[in-house]
Amino acid sequence: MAAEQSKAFEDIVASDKLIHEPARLAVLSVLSACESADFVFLQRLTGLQSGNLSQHLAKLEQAGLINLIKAFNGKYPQTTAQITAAGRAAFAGHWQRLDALREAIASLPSGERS
Amino acid sequence: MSLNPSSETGDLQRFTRAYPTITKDPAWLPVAAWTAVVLPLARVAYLHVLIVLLSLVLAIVATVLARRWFRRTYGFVTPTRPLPLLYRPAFGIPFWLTAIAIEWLSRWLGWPVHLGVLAFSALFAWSALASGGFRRHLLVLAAICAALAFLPLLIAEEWRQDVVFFAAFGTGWCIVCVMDYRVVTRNFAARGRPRHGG
Repeated sequence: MAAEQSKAFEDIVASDKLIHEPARLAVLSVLSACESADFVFLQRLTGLQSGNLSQHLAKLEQAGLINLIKAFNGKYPQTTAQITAAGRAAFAGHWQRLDALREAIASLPSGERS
Repeated sequence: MSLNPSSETGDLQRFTRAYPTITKDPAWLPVAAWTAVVLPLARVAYLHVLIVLLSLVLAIVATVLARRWFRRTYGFVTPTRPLPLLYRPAFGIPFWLTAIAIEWLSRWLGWPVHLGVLAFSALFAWSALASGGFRRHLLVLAAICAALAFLPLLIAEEWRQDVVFFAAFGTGWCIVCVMDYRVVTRNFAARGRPRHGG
């Protein structure tokens, strides 16, 4: 029991900071629910400034979690983001770790939670 | 930016899944308005066919421009395959053919009910229920179509039936276009307040 809790808390420390960052978590949530989404949609939905969103997308792309496809629609540049298989697995794994952590905290005696 | 993992990411995913279907209709507002205004007028005031066609062309051009504007302003999402049954061509084409066939059958048998319109009413009601709460307003169009299916029982003259049919259906379609647009803008406004940090 104590060992399980200890492992759960070790998981907090080891949790993937790249995914856990709220803006990137939001981007991965959106991309996990579709085939692909364009930059404008992601920007509208997350409320991030374009430079900021670009940085987050670049970090996710560098980690191999998403693919960025840059193209032109007429004279307008168009960036589309697509989650990779590795990204999907990392996103699912992250939620599993959070669920395990939640269960571990729920199993603690009430006095030890605070 | 703060996220409540249990609710907000789930909401983001639900909205993303619904987005491709919610964004189909708003750009069609000019054609919907044309259906609600010009077609009934053409039956009442006997508008010249050129005016009717010219206004239709203008409505279609406005729709194309609105679609482009919508895509550039709000972005687009490619849905995950396979699409839900309701939006697959394998469902849509047979549905249209069946609706036309039963409409033709009801007219041929002289029944005072438009069965094809009733089928569309059922389709809109199903779409509203399958939309995860985002397109509940489709129930308005479903109710309008259900009422219009029984129009021959209420109005005898065919030209008057046409006037009421196009005015009511067009108005219902306009409502759906406006409400879909409202769903999109309200969701973006609620989730996407501009933030500088990440």
